[in-house]
Amino acid sequence: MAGTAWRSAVSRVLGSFKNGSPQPRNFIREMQTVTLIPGDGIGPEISNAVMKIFEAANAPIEWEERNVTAIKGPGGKWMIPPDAKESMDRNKIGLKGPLKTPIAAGHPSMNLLLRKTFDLYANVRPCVSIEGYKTPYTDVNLVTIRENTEGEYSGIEHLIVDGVVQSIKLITEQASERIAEYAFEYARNNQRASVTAVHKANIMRMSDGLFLRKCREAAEKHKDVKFTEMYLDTVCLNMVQDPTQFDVLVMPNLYGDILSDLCAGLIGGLGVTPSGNIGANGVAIFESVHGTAPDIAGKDFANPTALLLSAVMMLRHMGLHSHGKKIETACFDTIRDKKVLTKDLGGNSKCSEFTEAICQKVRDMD
Amino acid sequence: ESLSTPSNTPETTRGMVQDPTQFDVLVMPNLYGDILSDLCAGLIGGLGVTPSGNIGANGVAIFESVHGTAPDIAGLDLANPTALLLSGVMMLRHMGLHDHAHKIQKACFDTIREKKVLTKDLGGNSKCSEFTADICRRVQDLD
Repeated sequence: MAGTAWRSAVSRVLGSFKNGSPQPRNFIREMQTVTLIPGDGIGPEISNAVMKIFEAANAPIEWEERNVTAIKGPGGKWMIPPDAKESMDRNKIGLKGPLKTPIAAGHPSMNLLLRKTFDLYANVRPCVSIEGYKTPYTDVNLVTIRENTEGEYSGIEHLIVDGVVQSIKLITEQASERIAEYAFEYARNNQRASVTAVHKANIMRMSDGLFLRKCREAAEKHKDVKFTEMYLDTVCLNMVQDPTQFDVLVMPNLYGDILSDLCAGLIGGLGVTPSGNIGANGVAIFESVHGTAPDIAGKDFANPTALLLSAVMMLRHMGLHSHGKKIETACFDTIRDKKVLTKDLGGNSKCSEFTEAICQKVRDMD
Repeated sequence: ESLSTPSNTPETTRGMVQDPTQFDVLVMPNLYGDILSDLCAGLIGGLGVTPSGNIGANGVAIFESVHGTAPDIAGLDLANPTALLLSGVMMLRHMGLHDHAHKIQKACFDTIREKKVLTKDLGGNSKCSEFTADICRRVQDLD
C-alpha cells in the first residue's frame, strides 16, 4: 500500500540521516497488519487482553478485526465472509480465538472451512512446560507438526454391505512432501536439533510407508537437522514416561490429532497451549485451541494465556523475536509469581487483572 | 476447562495425562487401542510391568507379557517376571480362580513395594531367582 511504503521510506531516510548508516534499532518500526478473528464466547475478551499486552510491549502490530461465520455463497456452497477472506489473503497473518460451530444441520465445522479456504496444511503446537503451572510432567519442550489436510480424515467412507463400513486413509506424495519439508524448515528456523517422523509403516506399509519415505527424502536435504523415526505406539509409551526425550515430531493427520492433544495435556491443557496453522501462499493463522467457554463468557474470568502464547508464536513467525520473547517472559513470570492467576490456573484473579499484571511486567522490561 | 467424560481419542489422551484416575474401562477400535494401550502401559511403568490378555472365539484366551525377548540379558538370571506373572494372574481371574489370583498378585505387589528384593529394571540389583523366591515366600506366608 502506498502509505506504508512512504512511511517506511521516511523511516529509512531518518535512520540513515541520524547515524550516517541505517541502524535497524533506530527505525520507527514499520507496523504490520494482522487479521484478528476474536471468535465467540470468551474470544472477544481474551483478544482484548492480547491487544492490551501487545500495546504495552509496543509490538509493531496493527489489528484488523474480522468475523468468521459460515455463510452460503452463490451456488449454495458454504464459505467464510468475503471480507474475512480478503483481509487474510492481504495480511497473510492471522490470530484467531475460539469459534463455535452452530448445531444447525448441514452446517460445516468452522475450523474445517478455514482450513479448506486457506489450505492450512500444517498444524504446529509447541508444548513447553510452564514454570508455576505444575503438571505431573516437567521440562517438556517439544513441538508437534501435524499434516492437516488428508490422511484418516479425508472423509471418504462407504458402506460395503449392511454392517460393513470402509474408511479410506488417503496419503499423497505431495502432501507428505510438503509437511516433511515444513518440519525441517521449522526445526532449522527455531534452532531445534531433531525431527522425528511418527508412523506405523510396519502395519500400513503403503500409506505410512509413503509418508515415511517423503520424510526420509526431506531429511537428506536437511542434514543439519537430525532425523529419527519412531512407531506411534512407542512414542505414546515413551511420551508418558519421559517427554523430555522428544523434540520436533512430524506425523500424518490422525496421529497428529491425538499426539498434539496428548502433549497439550502434558503441559496443562488447552487453556495454556499455543497453536499455529500454516497454509499455502504464505498464510499463517495462529489460534487458541480451547473452546468458547460460554458459561464464563463476558464475566472477566477467562484465561488469555493460550491466545497470548499463540500470538507470541505469531510474532516469532514474523521474525519479531525480541517482542515475542518479551511478552512470553512477562506471561511466564506472571504465572510463576502466582500472585495474580485466573481461576483455571489456581488463583482467583480476573482476566483483566491477570492481563494488567502481564502488561506491568512488559513495561518494566523496557 | 472441565474434564467431563471425553469420548474422542485426542481428548482421551489429554485426559489420560492430566488425570488418568477418571477412567475405568475403555473400549475402542484397533488403531486407537494400539495407541491407548501403550500409552496406559507407560502410565504405570512400561511394558515390563503390564499384563495383557487376548480373547478369542470358541472360548480361547491367551494371556501374555508384551515386552520383548531382551536377548542381551537372556539366561543371565536378570529378567523381571512381573509382566508375565501379572498376565498369569489375569489368566487365573479369567478362569474364576480369584483367591489364587489375589494371593499371587498381593505377594508380587508387596515384594515390589518393600523395595528389598528388586530386579535391575525396577531399581534394585537382585536376580530374577531372588525376586521370584521372595514372592514365593510371601505367597506361602499368606496361607
